[in-house]
Amino acid sequence: MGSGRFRSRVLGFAAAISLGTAGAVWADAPAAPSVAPARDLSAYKEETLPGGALAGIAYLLLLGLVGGYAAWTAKKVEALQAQLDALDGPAGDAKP
Amino acid sequence: MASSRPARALPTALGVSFLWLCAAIAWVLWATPADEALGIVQKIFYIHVGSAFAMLLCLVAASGAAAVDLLSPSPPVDAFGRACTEVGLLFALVVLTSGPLWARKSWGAWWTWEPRLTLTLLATLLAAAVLAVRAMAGSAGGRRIGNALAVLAGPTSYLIHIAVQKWGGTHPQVIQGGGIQSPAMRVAFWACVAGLLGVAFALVALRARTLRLADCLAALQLDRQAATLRQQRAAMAGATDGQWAVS
Amino acid sequence: MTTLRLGWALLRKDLAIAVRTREVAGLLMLFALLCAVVFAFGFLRQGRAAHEQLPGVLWVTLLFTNTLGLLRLFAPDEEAGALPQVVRSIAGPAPLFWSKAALQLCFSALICAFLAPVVALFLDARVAQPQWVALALALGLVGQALCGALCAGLLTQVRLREVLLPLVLYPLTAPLLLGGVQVAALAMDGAQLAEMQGWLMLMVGFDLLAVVLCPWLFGRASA
Repeated sequence: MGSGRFRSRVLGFAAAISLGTAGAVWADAPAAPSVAPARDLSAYKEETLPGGALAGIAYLLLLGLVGGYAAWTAKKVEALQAQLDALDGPAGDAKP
Repeated sequence: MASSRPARALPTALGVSFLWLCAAIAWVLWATPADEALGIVQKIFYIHVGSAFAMLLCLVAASGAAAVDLLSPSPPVDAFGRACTEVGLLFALVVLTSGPLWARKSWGAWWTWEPRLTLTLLATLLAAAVLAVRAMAGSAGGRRIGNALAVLAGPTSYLIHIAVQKWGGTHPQVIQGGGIQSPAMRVAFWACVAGLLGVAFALVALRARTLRLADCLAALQLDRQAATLRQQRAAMAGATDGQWAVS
Repeated sequence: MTTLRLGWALLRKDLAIAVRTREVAGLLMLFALLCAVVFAFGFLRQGRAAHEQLPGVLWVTLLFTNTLGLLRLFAPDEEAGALPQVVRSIAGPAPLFWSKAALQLCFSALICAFLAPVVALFLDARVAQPQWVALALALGLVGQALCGALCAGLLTQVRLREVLLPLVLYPLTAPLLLGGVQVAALAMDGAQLAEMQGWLMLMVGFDLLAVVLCPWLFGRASA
């Protein structure tokens, strides 16, 4: 790729992104009143869902998801190690 | 072996940050006061916001890494981007499960089409789509295609953010507006954020290393196979030469 | 200007194929009609059509039909085994991208021109300011054609691409859907331009980004 072509492409790139951002920021200025009204929450104040249980589930889910992902990664590492050992094992002897 | 030090350092970092996170959580559960207005369910806040930070950082880094890898291909950057996408998806799932549990109690609904919820959901779907494409497209094609889509996902997420902001929302603006009042809550909150970000960084580093290792191993195995084939061909050529010589 | 000339030649070739066979466009229109009918059934309330559902039905039907068209977009070249040669033409992959995006735009504009009155008829809806709906549709179709041509082109060699294409395309073009539905809903209620301008500018911003990013990414990823 020639440097002139590269430069023009980068310039066009930057120009379009700034134009798009400018348009988006203009779009960001609220022309219409916000569509969703604030929710009426008074009806739910008396409701007695066990907040502690909800929070407990959230914490368990966090630990489960992170722990599960870490365990999955560890299993992948073990599988890689096994492959590496298999490769090292015959010490370069070509086998079918 | 030169690679043994970081190989042990990363799991150690992960373990330390995970222990830190567990300690911070224990502190939150036993030592912080319950919120006056929201009650005990407000304790979700401590992990919800930190997970959202981790998700945002990972997905932005993934998009950036994809752009860098498209501009000048580099396997470590690619592995870093993939790890970031995966960990971002992981923390997005944490945000998307802890959020509704809190919302049901304090808004009265598991889900509302509220700006931040919508953005998080769509970002999660984009990350999942990128990973699905990478999984389906094989190694070489998947890298280019997944990176192209990840690059496009960055500005699109920004536009989605602007679009859904126009709906107006009910999401509490704790960090932008005033911060947390109670000092005990504040310290516990930032301790949780630090723990979550530490776990996220350690996971990204570990996963990036694993991906890189898997790529190298695959290349090595291909090399071995090629060498085996070459040897076999040479042996066969030798055998045929011998036959010709006999006849 | 090799890119432009080559792109125009490729587009003319694709259009000639489309005109000669006519089956893809015809079947897509039939599918769009069927989709609109199914939606109209889904929103019937005690025999009355739900006219307030017009924006959603119109945009989602268009999205589904476009997806179906995108899955066939690269098929003629692929079945002839010509795709690698076209990608490695003297001007790179750019002419292929532009011709395919333009072809998809032609298809979707044709379908949209047929579908919009049909949906309005089925749902018994009156739109106070149809010109803004048309503008939003034009902006949305351009963005969808660009993103769609990129995704469809990248996924040509990928397993399960029929499933992956919507998986990738729908969240990517979500801003267009959000904006288009809002503009149509506002226009139905007779809102002024000032109220829609934000949403229209959002779609313009998306199209600008797509015009720059999509061909670049296509070139980078299919090189």
